[in-house]
Amino acid sequence: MNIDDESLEAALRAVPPILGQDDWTDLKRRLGARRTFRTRLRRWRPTLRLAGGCLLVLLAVGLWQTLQGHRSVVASGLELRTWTSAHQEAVKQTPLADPWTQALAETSR
Amino acid sequence: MASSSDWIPWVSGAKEGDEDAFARLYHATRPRLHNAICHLVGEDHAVDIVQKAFVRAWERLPDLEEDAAFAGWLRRIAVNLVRDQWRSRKPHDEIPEDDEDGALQEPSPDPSVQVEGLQDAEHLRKAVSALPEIFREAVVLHYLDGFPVDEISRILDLPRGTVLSRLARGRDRLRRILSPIREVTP
Repeated sequence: MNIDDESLEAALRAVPPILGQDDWTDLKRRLGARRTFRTRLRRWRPTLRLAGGCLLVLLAVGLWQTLQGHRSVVASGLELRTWTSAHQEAVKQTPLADPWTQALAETSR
Repeated sequence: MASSSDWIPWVSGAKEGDEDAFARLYHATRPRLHNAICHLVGEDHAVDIVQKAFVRAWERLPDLEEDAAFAGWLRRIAVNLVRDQWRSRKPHDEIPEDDEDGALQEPSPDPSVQVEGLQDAEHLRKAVSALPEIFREAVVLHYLDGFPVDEISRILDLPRGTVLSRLARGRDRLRRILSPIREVTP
């Protein structure tokens, strides 16, 4: 008898499956016996993820505030330099424009 | 039995440590896996290997990148356990290397599995179990478990061409095993 490929393949595909029996109780016992730190951690993963997210938001807010503070210090330094240079320029042009110089001049008179 | 699209959400749940989702996944995917493993190692060892495969799957689920690939990934775990079983059964006899050049010796057909035709499922099962392991893996995964060749090449970690060649050689051997005695012997 010569068996052609098609008949053989069809026959193999038609073999009824051997399904066996579910035994979830046994599997659960096996899982319990081999519960490792990693598998326990998995159950807490959503909570840990949420906590991590909150921590990141707090860090971001802190960083933003620090940067804002640094920016205002830079701004006030810049304002001071601008004011000083404007004052020095004015004094150079009219020395008595400075109230301090004016007061000194009057005292020495 | 649930279709693969039904159990994909259970894979994500099980990945997060949800044991109920894993139980549903077990009930949905175990019967087909049991069928494949039965044909690879026999019913006596299949139950234990299937349970061990699910324990390993539970432990390694977070490593699974694509939820839809669960069935193939589970087969890969189970096939590795099957290979361990084969190795432990014959400690001094390695699983034969690939036989693409026909170097492997042809086993003499077992008269107990030579049958008149293809109608008898029990005889077909016996013929499959008489195949050398490297061919049996491919034949079982493709014809009895329904996996496409590409998926089998991932499961067995073999090139597609090798899987195709093993399927062809597996069919050749099955044909020889299934040929009636009166035609094999003069």
